[in-house]
Amino acid sequence: MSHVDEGTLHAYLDGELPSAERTAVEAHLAECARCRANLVEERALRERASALLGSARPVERPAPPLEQLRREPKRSHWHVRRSFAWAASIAVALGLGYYMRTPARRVASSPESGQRVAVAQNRGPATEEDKALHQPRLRPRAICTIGARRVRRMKSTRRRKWLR
Amino acid sequence: MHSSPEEDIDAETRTKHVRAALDELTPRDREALLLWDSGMSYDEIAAQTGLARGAVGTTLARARRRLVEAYDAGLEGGQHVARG
Repeated sequence: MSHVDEGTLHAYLDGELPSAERTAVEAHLAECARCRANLVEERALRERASALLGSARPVERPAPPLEQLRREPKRSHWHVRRSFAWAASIAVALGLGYYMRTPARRVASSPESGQRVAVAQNRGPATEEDKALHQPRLRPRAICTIGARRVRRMKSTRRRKWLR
Repeated sequence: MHSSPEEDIDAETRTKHVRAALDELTPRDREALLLWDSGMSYDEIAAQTGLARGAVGTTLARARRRLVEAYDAGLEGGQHVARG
């Protein structure tokens, strides 16, 4: 291999030489004192240039980090608040669902439940007793399919009816 | 830790001289050097500037040498003015 030119030395120092070329350069450097001396010189030049650019950099990028720090918390605070709002509404909906579902379970586990299933399978005209048995089961389904806001509205309507 | 006013002036002077030295470079050399300094790879610099990838090392070597030479020349010129 002939002597290594300065462009290749800089690419080598920058870690940008393809591996095959890097191996060849390293093999040459191991046996060529002149290229090793050049490498030392180019490394010093590269470091000096980097230091000069580094010293000029803060002025070229005037965006003050403090200003960014001031802006960011506002945005993240809003994100946190919105997340909490979502979490809270989901928790309320789940809580309401669970609360309304409890009496239905009791009915389902009662001895009449077997009878109710049998009646349902008959597909005959529904008796008053069947209607009464089916009513509590409808409640949790309603909660699942409609939003918590609707449930609250239903409850308040029911309360108004009771007050009359 | 606060730097003394002398150090602030020195830093300002240094920055001024670095900028003046960058102005001495050709637009292509300056662009390649600043792109490398901003963290771009040779492939990215080649794509950005239109240089062949194999020419990026040579361009950077020349740009670095000229930057340092122009900076040193600028400092020497400043000292002559200060003395004279």
